[in-house]
Amino acid sequence: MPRICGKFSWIDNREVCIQYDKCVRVAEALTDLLKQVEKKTSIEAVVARIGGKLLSSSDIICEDSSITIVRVFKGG
Amino acid sequence: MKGVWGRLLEVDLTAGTSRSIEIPEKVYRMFLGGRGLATYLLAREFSEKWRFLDPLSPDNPLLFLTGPLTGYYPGVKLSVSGKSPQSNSVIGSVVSSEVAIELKASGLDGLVLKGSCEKPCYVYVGNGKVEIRDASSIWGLGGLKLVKQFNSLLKEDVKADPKTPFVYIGPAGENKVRTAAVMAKLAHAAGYGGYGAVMGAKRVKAVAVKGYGSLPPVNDPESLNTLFRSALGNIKERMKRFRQWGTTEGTWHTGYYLSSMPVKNWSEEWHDVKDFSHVGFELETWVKNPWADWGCPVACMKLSIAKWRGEVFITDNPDYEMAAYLGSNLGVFSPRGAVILSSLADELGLCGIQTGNVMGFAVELYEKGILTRDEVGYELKWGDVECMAKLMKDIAYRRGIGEVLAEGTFRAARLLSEKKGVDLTKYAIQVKGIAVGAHGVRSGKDYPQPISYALSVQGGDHTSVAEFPVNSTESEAWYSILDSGVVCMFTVLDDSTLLEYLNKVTGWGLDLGEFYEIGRRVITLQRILLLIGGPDAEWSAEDDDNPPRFYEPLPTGPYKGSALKREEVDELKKKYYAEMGWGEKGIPSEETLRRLGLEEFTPMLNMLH
Repeated sequence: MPRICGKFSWIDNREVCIQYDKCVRVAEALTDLLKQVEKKTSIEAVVARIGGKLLSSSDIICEDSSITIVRVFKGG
Repeated sequence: MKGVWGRLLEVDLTAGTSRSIEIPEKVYRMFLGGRGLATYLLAREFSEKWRFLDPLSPDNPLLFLTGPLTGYYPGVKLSVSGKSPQSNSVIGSVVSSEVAIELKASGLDGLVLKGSCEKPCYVYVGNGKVEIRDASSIWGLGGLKLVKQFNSLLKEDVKADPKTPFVYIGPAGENKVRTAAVMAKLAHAAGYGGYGAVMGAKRVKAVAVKGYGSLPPVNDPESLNTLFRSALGNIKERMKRFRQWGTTEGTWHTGYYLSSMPVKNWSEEWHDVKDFSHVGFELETWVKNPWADWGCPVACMKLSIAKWRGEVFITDNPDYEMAAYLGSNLGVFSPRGAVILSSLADELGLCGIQTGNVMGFAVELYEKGILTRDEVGYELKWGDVECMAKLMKDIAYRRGIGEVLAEGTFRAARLLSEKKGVDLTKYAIQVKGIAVGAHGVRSGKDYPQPISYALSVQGGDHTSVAEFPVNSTESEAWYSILDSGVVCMFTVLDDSTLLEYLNKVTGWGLDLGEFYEIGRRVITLQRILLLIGGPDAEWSAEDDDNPPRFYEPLPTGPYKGSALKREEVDELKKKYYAEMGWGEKGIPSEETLRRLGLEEFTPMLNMLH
């Protein structure tokens, strides 16, 4: 039952946490975390890391984790 | 030297000669390539004479550049630069084109065109050797007809490989319309900057490049290969929605939820027309989904078709910016209408953003009775695709009112203000000669910040916004690095990954601080050229501002009443100057130039004090 926290680099490193009751895909966690803070940024525009590891959207997280989320492009 | 050849090909169109220019590795390390290298080369060549350089004269070099990441990083972009006939500075404009790969496979990092041809010509670079050929038979053409005929001409005239990629201009570029783009593959455009007009002023219809060699060697091929594969997988996985919808999703998201989409020359920024959405475009116009350029794992492009009055109109998605500027900004809320106008802009070789912006400006003036039917020759009505198509053609051919509008929004507003004796600049939604991208500031819900456009060294360019913190992926420094790399912003990962990539290619071993210093260096030098400007427009700290309309409250939508606050903009402006080391009047200080290794450009500051 992982507790996943996301730190958003472009919102003064604001941190939001969500408690899941089972393992969760990175794409789903990012969508949920983003919804908590704003609706302008899509998950396509962000890159996530846990520590030094770059996460892929299909990675699965089963343990408590702190994700650093960086927005790499805007608009289109 | 790794990742680059250290060599550009300079072609003197007037003399019909060419020569190789050697670029030291130190310069690549300081400016990378693309936008950065173009800025350096132009500042170095013209220095204080920049103010007197007419962007539409033969003296203005037109640069087609690659960067150290071209060919190695997923996707392909070509940087197009020179002195912009819109901002009178350097705009790093990019277009998806395999010309970039072919240049590198020709042993070149770029091509610089100088002078002008006496009659219409095209430039063919075959494995590094240049030919300047007659283009009279294709002059006047645009779109599919041009692409087909030029393919045949290349085959017959220079025995070119049938798959030779090229960039070209349409009739608008030939007529030196300041909103003309450098086009590729029917629907791709280097739009910001107006370099289609620069190419037209040189009477160059097209530039085709084919190389048969390898790319330059890289520093660490094995670990680069591993990183490439992991990046490719990551990007492909992350960008699934882009593959499905492209940026067209913004048509609904930005227009309805964020209330930040231009509607009728930005008099509003909200719409609730459900059919005018990515789903509407898919149902009404998309016939192929998706397609991509060389090496791109994202594949955000679609193919759209609309039939109208016996004619078939083909274009890409259109992407969000085109749907906004050639749709809602003109009061056109039908996917079919936006496809027709986007396709027409492609055919005429016009930038959809700059042209849709000046068209919206004209329609508003007409609506207010400032422009009359006598002056225009027909009625201008929001949402009327027929009159919009007519107006767009008049701009491309500089006919009637199109002669003034072909100068772009900033200059058209200035000319019409003089003619009418009233200030019309308040209806001009531009910053420093560049029409503002289709992302509004007033609702505060979309990404641009109050100073994003006001402080950008590329004016209203939505792909190069000035934001805090400067050493982060939020900033203009980051975007200038992408344009100098040269990489597509939709294929990037984060800054550490891109830096790791750059180091594996070049072997430079830069750290993140040095990486962002490259971006700061590029935009600081661009800032100096912007402030010198000339000969027909000059900018100062007073122009570091938003269009007046952005200070007026939004009249509709969920954020009705929201507007920019001047005090906030002024405060952020001061903070940004300080952060960039630009002094109180926004002029880079000598100390900043020293810190960035730009001492040789210090004499240019004398023109600004």
